[in-house]
Amino acid sequence: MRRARIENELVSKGHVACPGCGAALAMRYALNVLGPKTIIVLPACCWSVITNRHPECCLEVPVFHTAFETAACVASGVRAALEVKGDNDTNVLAWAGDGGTFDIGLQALSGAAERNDDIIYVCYDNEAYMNTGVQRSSATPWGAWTTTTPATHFKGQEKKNIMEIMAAHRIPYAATASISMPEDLMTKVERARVARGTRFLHIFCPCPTGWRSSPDLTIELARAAVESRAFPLYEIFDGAKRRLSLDPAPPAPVADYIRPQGRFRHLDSAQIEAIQNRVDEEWLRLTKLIENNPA
Amino acid sequence: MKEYADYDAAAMDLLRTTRNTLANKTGSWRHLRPEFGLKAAACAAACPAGNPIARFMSAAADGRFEEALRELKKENPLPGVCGRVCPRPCEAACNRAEFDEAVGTRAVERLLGDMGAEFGLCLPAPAAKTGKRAAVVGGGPAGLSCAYHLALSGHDATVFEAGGEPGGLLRFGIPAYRLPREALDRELGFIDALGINMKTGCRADAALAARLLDEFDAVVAATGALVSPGLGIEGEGLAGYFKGLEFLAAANAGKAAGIGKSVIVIGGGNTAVDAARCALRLGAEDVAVMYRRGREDMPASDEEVAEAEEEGVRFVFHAAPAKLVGEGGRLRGVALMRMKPGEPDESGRRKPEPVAGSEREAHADAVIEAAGGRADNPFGRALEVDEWGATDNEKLFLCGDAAPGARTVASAIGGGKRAAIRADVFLRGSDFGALKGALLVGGAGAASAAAHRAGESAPGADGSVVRFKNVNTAYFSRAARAAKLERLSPEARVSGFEEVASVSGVAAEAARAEASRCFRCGECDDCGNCLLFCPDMSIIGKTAGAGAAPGFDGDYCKGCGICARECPRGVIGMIEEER
Ligand SMILES: Cc1cc2nc3c(=O)[nH]c(=O)nc-3n(C[C@H](O)[C@H](O)[C@H](O)COP(=O)(O)OP(=O)(O)OC[C@H]3O[C@@H](n4cnc5c(N)ncnc54)[C@H](O)[C@@H]3O)c2cc1C
Ligand SMILES: Cc1ncc(C[n+]2csc(CCOP(=O)(O)OP(=O)(O)O)c2C)c(N)n1
Ligand code: SF4
Ligand code: SF4
Ligand code: SF4
Ligand code: SF4
Ligand SMILES: [Mg+2]
Repeated sequence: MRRARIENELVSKGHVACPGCGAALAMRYALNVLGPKTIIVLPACCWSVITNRHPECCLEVPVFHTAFETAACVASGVRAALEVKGDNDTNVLAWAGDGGTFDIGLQALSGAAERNDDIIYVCYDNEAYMNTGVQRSSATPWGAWTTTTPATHFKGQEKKNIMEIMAAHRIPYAATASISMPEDLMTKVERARVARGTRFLHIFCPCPTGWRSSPDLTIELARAAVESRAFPLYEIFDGAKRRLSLDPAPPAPVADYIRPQGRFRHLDSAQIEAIQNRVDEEWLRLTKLIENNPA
Repeated sequence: MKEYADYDAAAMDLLRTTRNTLANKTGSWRHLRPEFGLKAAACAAACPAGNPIARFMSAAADGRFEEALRELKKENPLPGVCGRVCPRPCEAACNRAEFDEAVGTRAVERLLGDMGAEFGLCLPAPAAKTGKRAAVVGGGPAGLSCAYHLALSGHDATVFEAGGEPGGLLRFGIPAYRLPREALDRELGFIDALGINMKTGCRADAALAARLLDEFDAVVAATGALVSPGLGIEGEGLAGYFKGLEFLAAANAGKAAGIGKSVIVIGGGNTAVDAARCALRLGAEDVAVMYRRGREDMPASDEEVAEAEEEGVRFVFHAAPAKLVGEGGRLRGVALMRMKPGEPDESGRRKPEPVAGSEREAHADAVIEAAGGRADNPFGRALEVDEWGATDNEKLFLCGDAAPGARTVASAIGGGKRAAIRADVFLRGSDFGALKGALLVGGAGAASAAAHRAGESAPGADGSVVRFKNVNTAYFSRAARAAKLERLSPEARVSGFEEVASVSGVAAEAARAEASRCFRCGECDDCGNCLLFCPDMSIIGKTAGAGAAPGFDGDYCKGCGICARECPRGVIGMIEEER
């Protein structure tokens, strides 16, 4: 199979993401679709560092560095300014981490979504506050080690379901995507690009540094998360109709995904079994929802 | 209200970034680096003929059959032959076997070889003439492969062959029901096409051998292992006793008759099984192969034994002849001993020993001896030879069954090629010591003549062989073997010498479907994974043609290893960075 090629290479070499960074790839794919007529709003997160220090910036499009909790509302403001200028075809892209989305930026995001402001909001999810040294977020999965949930007191809460929160806002388009499936990811960015109103993409981005995983495994882990159904790929239209992008049947054991990661090293097989059961339950819940509300 | 223009422009510029990150050479972070050296597929490292399997599979999977055949012919002049009779060590080594089922390499090779009927010989372009003359004694697969590669290297090659036609055991040993003569003759067309001087009916004796050494710039002995040692027991003078190779030669020439109703063949290799199957085809009703060891020790391939059994050949194991019994000069039967496995011998197999008092007589109208032949050549029997066929006489080379090593068609082709390369280096006066490390596929397999002619390294010459662990199976889905052999009914088979096995279905479809199963280990097909998955945009796309790998940008690559991990086919490896 011949893979998609990147036509718009809008991330320049020399960025300072860690070796094997999944988030760096997510940006590469998204900008390939959105093209040079894009304004990025970047709150505090790894990506605000990846761009490299002033006066350099690896992104070949305009970027606003903003406060941690403000990605969505600054994006709304940029859109308003563009409207005043009569510019309707520049994409406004809020690009935030899971901390900046699931936690501190949720209020601003909810506000923008409730107003259905015309922005694309991407949450690149590396499942912790990585930029500041791997603290837990509400996107960190159950069982994971972080510096604030040490192995002896690993995270005891489930990952928050951000997609259902966004669906509850009845926004026109929301989708999950994985960097292991760039073509699917880019198709979804394109669907987001052509829609109007608040569009939300949740992109799963392994982080070798914070996950204590070998950098060469970044794609493999992203793929294993999909194939084991730990991170299902689907879309939600108008907050109601849903569509599965891929049914990994039969699914790979979730242990294939968990085992290579240092952040789960302390888990015994019973605990991994518990994760497996949770994944199975969630899949059932999701597929029922999709069955009842097909797109 | 303050307008934008009222702000201090210099202060605004302080907030704005002015350039991208290209000045920031993140390559300095790296402690591992990707490498893209041409690697050998596991199958190619195991093919004694050095077939470029992944390369021709790539072309065949795309339906570019003529190109596929051309790739094959760079290394092997006889794909249609190997594609029929090779015991396929490539398939035993195939990485896909650990995924679902080995790729049907031999079947694809056969189909491509046969496409020569449509595409012609598809020979590589020969090098410029050197004016050097080489004599090859023996026109079997080893001598023919040697003459082929000598001619492609620009030398004048003359083959001296004792038989009336070239081919050696391919013609007078292996019967037409396994290797139809059209398939053989079609591929031998290279002899004329390359202007090889073929002197048939010319058996070299010691005097001619000495003259050749005088008159030619290099001489290659490829005289096979055709001397039958006989059974060495009482009764070999009886009418009804045959030497296997002579019997086969007569049968293959359509000149064998009067073999009788019941036939006993003594041996366990190709000769035994083919002699038995020929006997059936010549009207024998009860044919038994008697072998002094067990089934697992038989040198004949399982495939052939199975075909023979379907045709009605009986196999009797742990039995050896003590003497031949006759009446009035005519054979009546054989006195057989039961054998039991004793101590292991040099080959690791247990040496058979007779069981005392187990002698019994078995009736037979004919007995065919089918022990392995002994090597012979007119240059002196005790020639010392290295793995390149070089002897202690710098202008004399030895290859094929006449030299030590495996006795198969593919090894004869590979051996002839090695001797041709070694002789070419000698004829050109080049330094072989500097060259030889770069010539072996996978560092230990067959030599690559294509690499030698191009002055390049053979795939994986440094020992890098793509194994299953280097293949990323996430990019392949399971698929049952597409090119399957179908066989005539046993009744139809024994009524003549028609070819037993053929590949089912339409040739082009079968070839394409089977080639599509191949992972193409080590062979970059420009799939784009590495380009797409590098987080640092540091893969520089492929710039050259077939097989060429991409490169990487050392200024920025951080050495994460994703490209190597995500390459479906093991083209990329990670090595320690030298700093
Ligand atoms: C019955 C049988 C079946 C076989 N089946 C298979 C099989 O299915 N698959 C497989 O891989 N291998 C098979 N083999 C083995 C294979 O045929 C040999 O390993 C191979 O042919 C060796 O090639 P060669 O060129 O070294 O020798 P040969 O094929 O023996 O050729 C030697 C040639 O040299 C000529 N010659 C000898 N002495 C002189 C001289 N003094 N002057 C001039 N010419 C001379 C001979 O006439 C002959 O043509 C089989 C062998 C036999 C006997
Ligand atoms: C109000 C505020 N609190 C804390 C910080 C420090 N801070 C910067 S980035 C960050 C974590 C970002 O985590 P996430 O959004 O998941 O992005 P990641 O770094 O993981 O890519 C924190 C805590 C800040 N910049 N502002
Ligand atoms: S010659 Fe034999 S080992 Fe080589 S590719 Fe053909 S079947 Fe396989
Ligand atoms: S998959 Fe293809 S290239 Fe790889 S070992 Fe098997 S036949 Fe050779
Ligand atoms: S994926 Fe890119 S950065 Fe990583 S090792 Fe390969 S070339 Fe280097
Ligand atoms: S990933 Fe694809 S393009 Fe890259 S080296 Fe491997 S085969 Fe070639
Ligand atoms: Mg994060």
